Amino acid sequence: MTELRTATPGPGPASDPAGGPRTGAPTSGGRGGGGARARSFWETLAATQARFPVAQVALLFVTFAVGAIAIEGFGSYNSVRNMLVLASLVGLTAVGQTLVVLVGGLDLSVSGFIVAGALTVTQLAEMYGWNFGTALLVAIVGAGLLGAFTGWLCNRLNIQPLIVTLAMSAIAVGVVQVQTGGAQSGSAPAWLSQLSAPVATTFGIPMPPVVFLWLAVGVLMWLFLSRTRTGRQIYATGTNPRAADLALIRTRRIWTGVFAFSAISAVLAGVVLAGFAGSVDGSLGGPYLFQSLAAVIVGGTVFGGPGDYWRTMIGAILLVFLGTVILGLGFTIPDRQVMYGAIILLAMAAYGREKKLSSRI
Amino acid sequence: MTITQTADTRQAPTAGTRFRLLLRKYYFAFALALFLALLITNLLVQRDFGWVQQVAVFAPLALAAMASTPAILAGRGGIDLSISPLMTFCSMVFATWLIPLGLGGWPSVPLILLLGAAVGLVNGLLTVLLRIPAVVVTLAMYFVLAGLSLRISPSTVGIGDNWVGEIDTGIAGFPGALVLILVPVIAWAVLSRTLFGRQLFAVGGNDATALSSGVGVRSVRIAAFAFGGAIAGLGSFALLSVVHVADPGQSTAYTLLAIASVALGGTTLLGGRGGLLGSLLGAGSIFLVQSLLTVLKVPAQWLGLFYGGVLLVAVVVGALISRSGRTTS
Repeated sequence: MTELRTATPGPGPASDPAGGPRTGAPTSGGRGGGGARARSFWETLAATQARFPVAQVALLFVTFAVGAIAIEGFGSYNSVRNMLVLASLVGLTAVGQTLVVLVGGLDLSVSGFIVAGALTVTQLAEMYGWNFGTALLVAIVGAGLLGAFTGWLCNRLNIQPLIVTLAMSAIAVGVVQVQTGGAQSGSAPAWLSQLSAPVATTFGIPMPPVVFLWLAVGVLMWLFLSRTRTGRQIYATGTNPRAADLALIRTRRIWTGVFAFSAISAVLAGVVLAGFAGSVDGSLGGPYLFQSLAAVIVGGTVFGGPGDYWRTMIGAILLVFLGTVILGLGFTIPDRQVMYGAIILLAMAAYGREKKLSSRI
Repeated sequence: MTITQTADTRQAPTAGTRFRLLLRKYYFAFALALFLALLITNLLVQRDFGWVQQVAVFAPLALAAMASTPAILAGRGGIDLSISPLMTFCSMVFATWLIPLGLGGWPSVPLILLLGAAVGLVNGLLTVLLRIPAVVVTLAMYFVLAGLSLRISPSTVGIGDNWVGEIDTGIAGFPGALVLILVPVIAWAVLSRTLFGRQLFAVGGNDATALSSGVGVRSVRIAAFAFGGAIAGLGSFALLSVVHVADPGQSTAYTLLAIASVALGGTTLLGGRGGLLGSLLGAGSIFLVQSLLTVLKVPAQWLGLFYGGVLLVAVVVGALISRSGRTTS
C-alpha cells in the first residue's frame, strides 16, 4: 500500500508550494514530506490521516457519545446491533462502488442492479419456477455481462461512466420489468430474511449473520486489494491510466472487470436487501445508491485512489450513526438526505480536491 | 476548398472523416434529421396532433435539456445532475411560499429565475473554488434539493387559480409554453455571439489553453452553471403549467432524459462543442418517440428500457463523432 501511494504524484504540495498544508490531504504526507526541516503539527496530522482515517474514527466516537447522551437507549446493545445491521447493508452495497471510485469512475447503476437482483430472485424465480440458486446464477451472469459492457464501453470510447451507468441502471431494471409486465412485487423467502433480521443469531451469537458476512467481505476485499496482483493493478489504473498502460497493465480489462464486479456485487447486495425488506419494489435501491457513494467518499476513498474498502466500512458505520442520531434528535428523513449531501461536499472539500488549473499548464 | 490545398502535403480525408467533420461543424444535424423524421411520422400516425397541448407537455423536458447544456459545454466533466431536482424545488418554492405571499403573479418570474441562478451559482462556486468534481457537487446538490423539496411539503401543493396554469392552454391560441422554450433559445443565440460565449467554448475545448490565453476560466465556468440554473428556474413554470401542482416526488423525473437529450443533440459530453439548439432538438426527438410509443400503445414497462437504450445510443454516437482529432487530456 505505502509503496504505491507515496510513489504516485497526487494533488500534494509539490505542485502547490504557495498553498499551506491541507489537513487530510491523503498524499501530502508520505516519505517526501519530511526531510530537512521539521514537520509542523499539521503536517504530521495530515501524514497520519493519509495512513489511517483518524478524523473519521474520531467523529465516529463523538457521534456515538452525542447519541448516547442525547437519545434514550442509543447506546444499548439492541440499538448498536440494529445500527450495525444497517451499516452492513450500506457497506455491502458499497463494495463495487469502492472499486469503481478507485479506478476513477462513478457507478450510478447500483440502485438499478439492486432492484434487478432483488426482483430476479423473488418475482422472476416465482414466475418461471426457478429455484433460488438458478435465479441467483441468472442474475449474476446478466449483471456481469451488462456491467462488463459498461466498463468496456467507457474505456474504449472515453465516455464518462456516470452517463453510461445511468443508462445501464434503467436498462437493468427495464429487462426485469419487461418480463414481469410492469408489476414490481416480490416477496423474499423466509431463510433469506433470517440473514439480516435483527433478532437472528449466528451460531448462537446474538448478532445477525449479515454483520459477519460483511466482516468476511471486508477481509476478502482487503486481501484482494493489498495482496493480489489485480488489486495492485486497480490502484495503478486509477492513479494514472497512461502510466499503467505503459507498465503493461491491461487497463481496459481492469475497467471491464471492475464494472462487472460492481454490477454483480450490487445484485448480491440486492438479494440481501430483498431479505431485509421482506418485499421488493422499484424503490428498494434508491436510498442505497447515495448512501453507498457517501460511505465511499466519507471513508476517505477518492476518485482514482488512494483508498481502501475498510475505509468504506468505517464510512458506512459513521453514516449510519450520524443518520440515527439525526433522526433521534427529531429531524426527518428528508433532513437526513440533505445532511448526507452536505457531508459528501465537506468530505470532498477536505481531501478530494482536484489539482489547480494553473498547475496543469 | 482547403482539401485541394492540403492534398499534396497531407493525406486526403476519407469520406468517413469528411462526414464526421461535417457533423462536428453542424453538430445538431443528426438531431434535426431525427426530429423531422419523427415529426412527420407522428403527424401521419396522429391526425389530431394538438399542437398547443403537445408543446406544453414537451416544455419541461425541453427546458431541462437546455438547462443541462451550459455546464456540459464548459468542459472538464462539468455535468449538472441537479437540474431536474432544481426545477421541482423552484416549483415547490413558488407554490408554497410565493403564492401565499401574494407574489404569485409576474414578479415571481424574476424571483424564481434568480433562485435557479443562485443554486447554479453555488454549484459553480463549489466546483471551481473548492475544485471538487462537478459530478460530485451536483449529485450532492441533487440530494440536498430533493430533500429540501420534501421538507417544504411531503405531498403535492396546488397552485389554484394562477396565470401559470393558463400557460398550457395557450393565450389566444398561441402556445404559452412556446414562449418558455424560446426565451432560453434567444438568450443563448445572443450569449453565444458575445465574448462570454466564445470564452465558454474556449474553456470547454481546453481549459489550460484558455487560461494561458487570458480567459477567466473560473468565472466563465461559474457563469455557465448559473445560466443553466436560471433556465431550470424557467423550467419550473413549464413543470407547473402541465400538472397544475408542485409535486416533491417528481425531483428525479428529468435527470436521465435531459442528459440523453443533450448527448443526442450533438453536444459532446467532453465539452467545448454543441449548443442549446441541439439539446432542444434532442429533447424534441425523445418527446416525439415517447408520443409515438403512447399512440402505438407500447406497454409502460418498456419505457425504462427504452430511455436507457436511447441514452446509451446517444452517448455512443456522440462519442464516435467527436472521437477523431481530439486528444484526451
